[in-house]
Amino acid sequence: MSANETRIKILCAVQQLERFTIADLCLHTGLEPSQVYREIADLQKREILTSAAVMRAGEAAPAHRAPKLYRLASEPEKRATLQEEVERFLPTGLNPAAPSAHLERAQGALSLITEELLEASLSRFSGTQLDQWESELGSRLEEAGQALKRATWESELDFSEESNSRHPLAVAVRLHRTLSDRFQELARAERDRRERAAAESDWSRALPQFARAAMKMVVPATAALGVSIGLNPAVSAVVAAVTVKFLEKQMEQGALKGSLYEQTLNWLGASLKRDLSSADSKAGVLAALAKHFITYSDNPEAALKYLRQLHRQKSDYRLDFDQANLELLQHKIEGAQEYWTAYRNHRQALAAPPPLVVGRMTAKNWSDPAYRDTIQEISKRYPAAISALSQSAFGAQEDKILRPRLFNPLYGKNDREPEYVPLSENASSDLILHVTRPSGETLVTAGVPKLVWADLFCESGRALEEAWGAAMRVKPDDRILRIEFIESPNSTVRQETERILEDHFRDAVAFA
Amino acid sequence: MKNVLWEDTELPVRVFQLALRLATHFLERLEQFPDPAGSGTSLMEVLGLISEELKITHKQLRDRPIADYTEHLRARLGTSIPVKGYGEVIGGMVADLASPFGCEDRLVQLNRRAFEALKICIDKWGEPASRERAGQMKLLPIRCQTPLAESPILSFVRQGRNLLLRPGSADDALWECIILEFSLFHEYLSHYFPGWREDEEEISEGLLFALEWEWFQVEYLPFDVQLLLHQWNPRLQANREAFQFGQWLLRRECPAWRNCAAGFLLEWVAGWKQFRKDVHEDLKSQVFGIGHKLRSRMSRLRQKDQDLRRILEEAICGSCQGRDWNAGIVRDSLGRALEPFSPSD
Repeated sequence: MSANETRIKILCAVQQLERFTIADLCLHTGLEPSQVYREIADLQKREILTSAAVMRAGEAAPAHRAPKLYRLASEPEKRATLQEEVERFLPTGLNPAAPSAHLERAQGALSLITEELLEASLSRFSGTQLDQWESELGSRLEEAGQALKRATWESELDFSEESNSRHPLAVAVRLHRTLSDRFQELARAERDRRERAAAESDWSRALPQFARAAMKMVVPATAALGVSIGLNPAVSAVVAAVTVKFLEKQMEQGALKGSLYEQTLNWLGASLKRDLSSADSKAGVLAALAKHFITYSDNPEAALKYLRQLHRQKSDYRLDFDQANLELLQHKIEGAQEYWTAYRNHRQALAAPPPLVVGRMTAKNWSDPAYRDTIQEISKRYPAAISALSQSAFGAQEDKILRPRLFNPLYGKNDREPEYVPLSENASSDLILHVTRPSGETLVTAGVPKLVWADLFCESGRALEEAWGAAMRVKPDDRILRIEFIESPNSTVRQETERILEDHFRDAVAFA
Repeated sequence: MKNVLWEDTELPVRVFQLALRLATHFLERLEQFPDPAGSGTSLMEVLGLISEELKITHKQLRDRPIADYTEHLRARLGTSIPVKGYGEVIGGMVADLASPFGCEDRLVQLNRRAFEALKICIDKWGEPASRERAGQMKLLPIRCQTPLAESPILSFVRQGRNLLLRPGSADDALWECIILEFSLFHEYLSHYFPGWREDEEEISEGLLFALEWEWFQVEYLPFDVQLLLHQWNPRLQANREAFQFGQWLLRRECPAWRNCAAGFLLEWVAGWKQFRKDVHEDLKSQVFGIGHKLRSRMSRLRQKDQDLRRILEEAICGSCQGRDWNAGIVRDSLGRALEPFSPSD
């Protein structure tokens, strides 16, 4: 040890102890008594130190060979002199940058935590694993924080000073803060994500069949898209089918969630997305899906399911009509009749039937000249609109084709929603009605042909069951004449009209 | 149970017995002749010479019966140490070596004195928890045993309700034995008295040793202090910083400060089990840290330094009247005081 080192040790010890014996000083500094005497004598000579023999309590005088007790002078200038001397030797202070075990421990922990946070793939964790990860990492961050706090406490430095901001401890404290924020952010984001997924899962549990069936809508949508961009329809259909299979598989594996689910819905159609996103209740969602399934799906069963569920939540007789149509599409005659009967009962209670006379004739008894003559004769006598309808084409005189329409389950939701929506073309390709109507007025019908007939027969005065039975007997090439009077026809007008028809169609007409 | 049990009579144990006898005779003769006249040789130097004689005897005799050692040493002391002014001391020792000596009795005596010193120390500086803890302590019987591996220094191990004494090397045997009372006192206060399960070295060998040093300087003679310094100064190396802080803590200006600081330290370790480990870890970091901050700040104390010192003084001295330190409350209080030194957000 150099003389300077010995001296600085003594000077620092003097400042810290202020009152001491030689033995105190030696034990404080680790020096031998022989090493300190000279320096102490020098300090005494400069009056920085004073000394007196140690006296024990109760003694009148110090014992023989009593040790001396040295005292640092109380005068500020003498203390300042000592301080200047110390600073000359040791400008950075007494204990410069002693390594801290707490800091080293915290640095090691933070280094590992940094790696783990960078590599964290929380979405792979199960709920329990996520809890465990959060708990363990949280504890380790807390321990590291505690170690840093202890290191800060133990240090001789004042870390609130800017000059110490680059000290490894200050750097570690900042890193700890950043990692803690990052940890909380990651954990919170993952928790939020899981909550959202759980909500979506709840949603999909509530509507599993809707979503699955919604995929089916891809078929017509993709096919139509393919055709519109010039693809061969057959190729488009194959692409659509493959796409549906893919999406169904994704859905089965639970992968079709979150944003992908959203994207899929986007792809299915902007209107469906709009309808779904504006739905504010389960009934709204059911109505939206029912509407789109009616419009796009070739699967009446799926649409029917949504309508049934919707109907349980929303009382609307028009839903009975839609259900009757969809039952009929599945050849469920009894079910269809039941729904239709319910629909008609409600409807008739609400509004009077239009003033109609309806006649049916077979295709072989139909002729265009007879039809024209009939119209002419009736029109001369009574103001009326006359139409002929059939599932078979009329030929040159035909002026319109009517595709089946069903009641729009979303009707009334907002101003954009029409009262009726077309039934999917795929589902109704053989259910169009051919109309010839010389007056040129638009004829509005609803439902598939058999229900159009049933409605016509019912509105022309037949009892419900009779009307239903008659409608079921109408053949695809039969012609139905519909004569709508301006005013409700009395019995005379009705009889006269029937007579005219019988005259022109040689008694081949059956009246409702 | 016997208060002293010699577990074996291997050479280290025999050398220890002889060293204890030499130390006892030396101190007893020194009491009779405390002021050797006209000598230019210090007591420490004389003791050094006697220690040399023991070392030489050990080298020469090796594994011989203790009676041979005693006889050999008696002959050498009578002829080899003609130190001026110490004739009566050395001559007395030579005579003592010819008489019977109760080594066990001496060990029992030193053990009792050390234990009593602990009780007195606690009675003077301790408070409720310390006194309760001291009341639970018993005088530990000593079992003397040759260490399995040779060690230069004498050591103690608490084994159940016994204190296992393992002698060190022959080179230091006399020095170890002449401060044996203090070593036993240190063992009781630093290692048996605290309520912890495992030693906290910084506290037992640093802070509590500083307290024991204070006690020793007040209660013992200057020569005892010299002996202690001679023996403990080199071995304090690992915990000198903790000792320095202990010294600093016990030497504040307030006249009652030492009692307060000593009381705080004793209460802290006596009630160790009442608090979680992290409370102690925090408190340790805080008290050492405050020492670092205030001791190393040689320029005029800033306001925040003065505040820190005031809060430390309040935490330690503020309980003077109530005499009831709570480690948890002190920890919280010091934690708040150290906040201004933390990195800002």
